Amino acid sequence: MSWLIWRQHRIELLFVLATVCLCSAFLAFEHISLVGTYSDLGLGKCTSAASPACSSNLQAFANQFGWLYVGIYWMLLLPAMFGIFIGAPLIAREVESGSYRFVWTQSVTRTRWFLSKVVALIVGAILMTAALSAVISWALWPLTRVEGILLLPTLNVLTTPLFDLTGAVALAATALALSLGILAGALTRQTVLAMVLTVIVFTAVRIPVASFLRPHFASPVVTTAAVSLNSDVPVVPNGAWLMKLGFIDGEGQTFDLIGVASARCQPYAADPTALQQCFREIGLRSFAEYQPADRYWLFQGYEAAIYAVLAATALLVAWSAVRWRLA
Amino acid sequence: MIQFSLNDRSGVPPYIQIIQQVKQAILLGRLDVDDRLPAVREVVLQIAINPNTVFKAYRQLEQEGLVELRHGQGTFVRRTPRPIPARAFAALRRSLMRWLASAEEAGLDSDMVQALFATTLQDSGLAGQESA
Amino acid sequence: MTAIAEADNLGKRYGARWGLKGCTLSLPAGRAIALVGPNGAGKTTLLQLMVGLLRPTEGAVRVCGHEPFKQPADVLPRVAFVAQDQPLYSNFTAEDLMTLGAHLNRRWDDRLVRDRLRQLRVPLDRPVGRLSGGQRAQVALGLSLAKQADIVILDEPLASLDPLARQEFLQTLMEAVTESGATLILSSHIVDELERVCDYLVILATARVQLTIAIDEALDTHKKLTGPPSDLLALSSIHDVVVASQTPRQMTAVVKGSGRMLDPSWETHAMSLQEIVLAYLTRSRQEEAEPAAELAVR
Repeated sequence: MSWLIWRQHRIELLFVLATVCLCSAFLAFEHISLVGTYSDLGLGKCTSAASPACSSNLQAFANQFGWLYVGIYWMLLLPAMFGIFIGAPLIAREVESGSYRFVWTQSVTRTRWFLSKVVALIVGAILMTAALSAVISWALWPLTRVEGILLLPTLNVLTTPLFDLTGAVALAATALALSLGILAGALTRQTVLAMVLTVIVFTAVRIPVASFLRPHFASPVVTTAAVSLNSDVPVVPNGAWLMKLGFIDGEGQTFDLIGVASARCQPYAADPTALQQCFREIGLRSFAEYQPADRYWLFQGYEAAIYAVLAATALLVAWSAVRWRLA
Repeated sequence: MIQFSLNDRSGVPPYIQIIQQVKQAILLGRLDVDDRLPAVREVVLQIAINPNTVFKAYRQLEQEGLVELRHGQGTFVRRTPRPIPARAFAALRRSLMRWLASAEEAGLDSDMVQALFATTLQDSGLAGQESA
Repeated sequence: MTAIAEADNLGKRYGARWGLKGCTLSLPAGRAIALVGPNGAGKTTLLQLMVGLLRPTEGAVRVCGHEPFKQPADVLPRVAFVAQDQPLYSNFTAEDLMTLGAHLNRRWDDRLVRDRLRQLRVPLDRPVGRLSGGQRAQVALGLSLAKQADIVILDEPLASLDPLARQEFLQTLMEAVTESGATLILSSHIVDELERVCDYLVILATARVQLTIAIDEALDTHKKLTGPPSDLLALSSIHDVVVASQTPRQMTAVVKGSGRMLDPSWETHAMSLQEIVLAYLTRSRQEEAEPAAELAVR
């Protein structure tokens, strides 16, 4: 079977591999300028945005390379490619062309044919994805670090796209895309329709999981700080996924803006000491809700598990369609 | 060596066609005593026929005494029937042509001639005789 | 005679329509079996049920002692199958397909295939999608023969072939099968082209088996009777009437059976295989239209 799998799918696999290589080359190229500018600006010594020198350099760096976020975002399509170009045609093309009548009447049973193909292709896809995600993590670490210090959400390890393209989630998402493609092909028996359905369903699964489930994998950490004239932001560790910033008063009411929060202290606006006293009296504090970066593997575990279970279910249904429904 | 051919559309079973072709070849002198008939395998290769059909045809020819199977060597023509003298053959053919001309004059077409011939042959009793 | 394949009330339904119903038969080993019937009669359905491509809706089928759909690992190695229009991977070369066969089959011997393809000058390194119909058919046939199977099943193998390709196809087939002694099952809606090759007959029409019989026996036992218009019921009480028709001048009946005393006013004619098949197809069509018609007896 392994000879057949390679011979039949080599073009599709090479096509996706070429795309992965292209992305890797692009990232490696950018990595060079990232590392160069990073050391030129001496950002290795900066651990917080507090000092003015660091602050402006960090900001400049983030501004210069922020566009990479867009490039990485497009790479979210790569797992879908496995589903579209390898998964969807797997069964659909055999049925459409009638070749299933040839290959399922050699001496290999349908189940063994299905199992061999699925295992080989998923392993291949996962290896390619693992390679790409390693390249992504390695290539972008300067930018990730800088954005972590600045608490920017764009290239945070816990948010899309970085979270989706690294670790176990990248692998599970690839497996899911491939499985959905195979299932779509098995059920519709039309390659083009299966390709379209794969994209739609894959997106329809991932967006809700990323947007609605992921924030709730663990209760966010809440810290507060006193509101003073110098600082009104609580201390949040670097790299954390900042989910909410605001103000809270003694009665537990939350506000987004300091102006609204401290409306009652308006009369004392002219006198800083009195203003401070007023804040203390109404119990005004600033708060932040965040997920610390060290929860990365916990969150990866949950989300990857969801995709893995869905992928396994899709494959089971696809296998049952191949064994029973296509007879 | 005799070359067989099969006509799928004649309605005549293949094994009978083989027998007829062997008999015809013997009659017309194309096969002589001790000539070897093609081996079953050769016939299968030649005209894509079921080997059992060839076996059956050869067996029937053997039963009729026209051929004999010599072990390890093949199937050979055993005896030829009295060949028809060429002059008698030619004379019969000429009178048949004359008869056909008068049949055509009378308005018979090819199908009617064949029908007339078939029924008359049946009635004559000639049909029951095997070629000796 | 051992049976190499048996069906027991086998049926397959596609949605509302039955593709095959109530099929019970026993196919003898070592024969060349012709499966004939009009298009849509159920030939492809029956053959695909025999190789496990379809699952029976009712009844059972056994090939070499096992049920093909439930135990494919036991049946597939012993059956070679070429579906209608000889499906292959069009971008694979004949060489590729032989490698595929060697990998996906336990028994594999393609020396004869290669010899034959070389003899016919079929290029082994061209994608089979770019071969002529006759060449592709030879490749598909060769791949099935290389499997060294006990049964070779071909679904409408001659349908799209020109006369020369047909001849070459049957030559390849008969040579291989004569050597190996494998059972052969060929389906077609044209009887003529199968008669030279086959010695057993199965007639399918309207999703049902109409007749299974050795071809020799069929030719010996079926006769066409023509005579003056007579009482059809009386006739059918004496003979096994397959189908009969009547005009004011003449009655024609196809009967099956060993010689019995016949009315001297009738003529007996031998029948060709094509005529015998036609009689059963006519009967099945009459039965389909009027199930209780007296004409369609037995």
